[in-house]
Amino acid sequence: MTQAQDPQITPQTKVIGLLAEFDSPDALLAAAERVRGAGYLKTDAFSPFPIHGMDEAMGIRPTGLPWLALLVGMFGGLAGLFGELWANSIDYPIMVSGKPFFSLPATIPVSFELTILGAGVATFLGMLVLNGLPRLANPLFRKPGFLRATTDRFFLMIEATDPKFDLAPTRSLLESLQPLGVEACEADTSPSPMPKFVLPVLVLMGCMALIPPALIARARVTKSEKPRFDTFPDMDYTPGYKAQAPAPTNLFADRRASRPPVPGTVPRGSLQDDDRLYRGIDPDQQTAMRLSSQTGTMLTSTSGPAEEAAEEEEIAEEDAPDAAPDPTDPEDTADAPMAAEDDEPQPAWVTSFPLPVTRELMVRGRQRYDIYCSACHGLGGDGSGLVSRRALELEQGTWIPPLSLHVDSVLEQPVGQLYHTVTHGVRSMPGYGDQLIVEDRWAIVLYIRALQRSRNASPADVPSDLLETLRDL
Amino acid sequence: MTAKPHAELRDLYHFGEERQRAVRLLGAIGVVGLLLGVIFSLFEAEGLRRFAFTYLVSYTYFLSLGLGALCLVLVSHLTRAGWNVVWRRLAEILGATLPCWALMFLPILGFLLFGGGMLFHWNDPEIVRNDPLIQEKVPYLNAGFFTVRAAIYLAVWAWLGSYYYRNSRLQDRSGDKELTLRMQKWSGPALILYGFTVTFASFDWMMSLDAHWFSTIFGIYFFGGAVMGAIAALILAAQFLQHRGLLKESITVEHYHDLGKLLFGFVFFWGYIAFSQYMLIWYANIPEETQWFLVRQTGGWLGISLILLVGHFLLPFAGLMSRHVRRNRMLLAGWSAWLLVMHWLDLYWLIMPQLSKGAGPSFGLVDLCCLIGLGCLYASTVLWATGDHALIAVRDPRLAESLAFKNL
Repeated sequence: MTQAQDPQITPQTKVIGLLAEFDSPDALLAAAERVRGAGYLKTDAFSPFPIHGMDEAMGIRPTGLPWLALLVGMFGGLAGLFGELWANSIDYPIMVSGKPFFSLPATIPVSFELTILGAGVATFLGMLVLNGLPRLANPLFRKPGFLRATTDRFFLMIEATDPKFDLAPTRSLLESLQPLGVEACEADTSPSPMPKFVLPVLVLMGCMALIPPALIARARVTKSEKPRFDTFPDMDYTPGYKAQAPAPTNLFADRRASRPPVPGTVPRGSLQDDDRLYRGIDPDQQTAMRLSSQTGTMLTSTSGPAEEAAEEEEIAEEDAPDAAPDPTDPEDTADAPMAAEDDEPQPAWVTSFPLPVTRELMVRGRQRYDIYCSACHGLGGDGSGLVSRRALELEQGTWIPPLSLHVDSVLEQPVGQLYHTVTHGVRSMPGYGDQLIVEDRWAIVLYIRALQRSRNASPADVPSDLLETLRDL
Repeated sequence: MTAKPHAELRDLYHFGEERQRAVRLLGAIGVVGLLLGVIFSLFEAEGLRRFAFTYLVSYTYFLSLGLGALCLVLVSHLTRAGWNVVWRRLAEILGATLPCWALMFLPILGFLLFGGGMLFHWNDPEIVRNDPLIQEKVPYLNAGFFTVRAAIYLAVWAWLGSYYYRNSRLQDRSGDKELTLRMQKWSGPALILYGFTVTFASFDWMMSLDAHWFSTIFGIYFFGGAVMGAIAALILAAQFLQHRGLLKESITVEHYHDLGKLLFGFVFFWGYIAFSQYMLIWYANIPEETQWFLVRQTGGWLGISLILLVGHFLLPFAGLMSRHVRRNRMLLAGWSAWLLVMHWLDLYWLIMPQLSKGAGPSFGLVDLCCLIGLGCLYASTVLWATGDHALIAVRDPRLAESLAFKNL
């Protein structure tokens, strides 16, 4: 018992155990075995590293920690599985790359990681709890020399709570194990009131901790006329140019961010000077037609300027008011512009294909047609595509059914005009020029021609070897 | 330093007279088995082609045991492991079969050089002419370069296997600790060589059976199965020796426990790699890659795939999880035998579907004769490599530590 320094506070100490110090792991191991043999159960050993055989020597039984890790790990795995099941297939089903909404392989990585996480966290926290950690203070650390347990000394402690513990006989037992020394370990149990300043400081810190959340909460419910505060102005207003927007700097005189091509130049691949291929127009005949049409205009002043298609349409509609009484009626609106187009002077469409007609082109055309056109026009071109049929079933009134490709007005169209229609669309049909390259558009036209011919084919069109099989059908 | 080891070697560690007889007997059975396999194959629909494929399955199976054991030896030197000295010699012996097993590659080389596209379809000029994808791979996949590569792999393995066995035996006589340091020094570079050769050998010998298909993880997949198989084989070998009264006290339940942990780990490693390979291909869904799995998911092969999933991964994973199982010799031996069968099935599943696409799995007399034949030859090789040398590294500086090894 130490002498009291301060007469007002009498230290009260209590022996919590006896601590024996050894200089080798073997001595500690042997001592632990002896102590256990003597019937002591509440013992503890301290060493700088794990000693093989120590658990056995001290009689430490396996804990339930593996079971805890297994259970929590399984829970984590199931939680992962269920989370993905819920999120991807029940709450918000999203089809990802054609896979089923719930497909096991995709869920395994997450479930696996959560299994590991669950088992790992359970092991760590379970270990802390089973070891009674964290502990703010341990009386052992007040022992001078005990810290050598982390470098080169080995300690064995018999706790005072052990039923067999009795100071004198226990001490003599430990001393019989040839330790470097045996010491009683004492805990200070004297009342130690909290210093007066602690509580106000804690309260003050708590209040200060509330300031940031309070500021955020206030900002979320108040409105301000002031402009937003820019934390990083150069990130909010970057000097980078955005397409189709004025340039933020005066680098260019006209302040256009998107620069036009330099006059007199053509971007690579944009020359497209072959009218036959790119526009489906025969340039020689077009020139001849224009010359003759100008002559015609001069001769007959009654017809308006031929090139203005818009005017032509208006005239057509005025001319046939009875044919289109209700512009919302799908059939009428479908017919009306067609009537107008018939009056329109057509450019000189090419009548033959401007690229070699091959089997590959036909096969490609069929494939492209089936992808891009058949949804509306149907696989056979008679306008019975799934989209069209569904739209008609819904009877919304705004749907204009696609024209059959086998009516005379289409049959008569030169290939150039069909190409033009595929490229730019016609009436309510959108153009596919942005989605199909030029060769594919021609391939589709070629395939349409094949479809059309198939409706009016004679036995002579069929190869003789296939003719036999047709007869069998 | 852990507790000072205080155990001494008190065991019998030499095979008796019967070893010589067993080497000759097993060798004879092996040769007869192989010959029978060739003869039976002549009556099969696929003819010698079937024998070539089934030979490749059995060859890679027993090769993988030696390779896995070699990896264990290298890693134990690299990590300066002490606990495993009692069984490291057994792994060294398995690794020392690699020079002999390099010779057993000759039939495969024969099928390649004289059989055209019999085994490797990329070696059939007719197929290559009509296949632009294989044409692109010709600079790598051609008989000449293939032979050179195979020679390099086999030479590296043969050299590593015999180097570590030889030095360990030298230490038996001299007790020179320098040998341990030297083996440790070379284990790092050796493992790098090992990694490259095993990866590319599995690419060449198994992945290229379908020259269109590719999977960069394939080498690790084969490696994972190989090490698992080697650990299972070592557990069984140790129990076999103890059954015969050898090493009775040296290898204790503690060593089995740790071998069981390794086995458990590699069961999971194999499953992890197998799933990684599958999931990426499944998710990307590119025909060039999925067709390999499609073959193995249609017809009878689906059953084999599911058996592998359950038997090679799920069951042993659950079964080996408990330490009570790993510390029970009988249960551990049971799982080891089971996993050795599964490892064979895994290689069968890798190789045989390429024999005839669309046909289901079949196991006939040819396969049986070939498996038994090569198996007996392998056992004969192992016993021959054992020689009259000690079955334990008797003067290894860490032997005492290993004998006293405890898990807790």
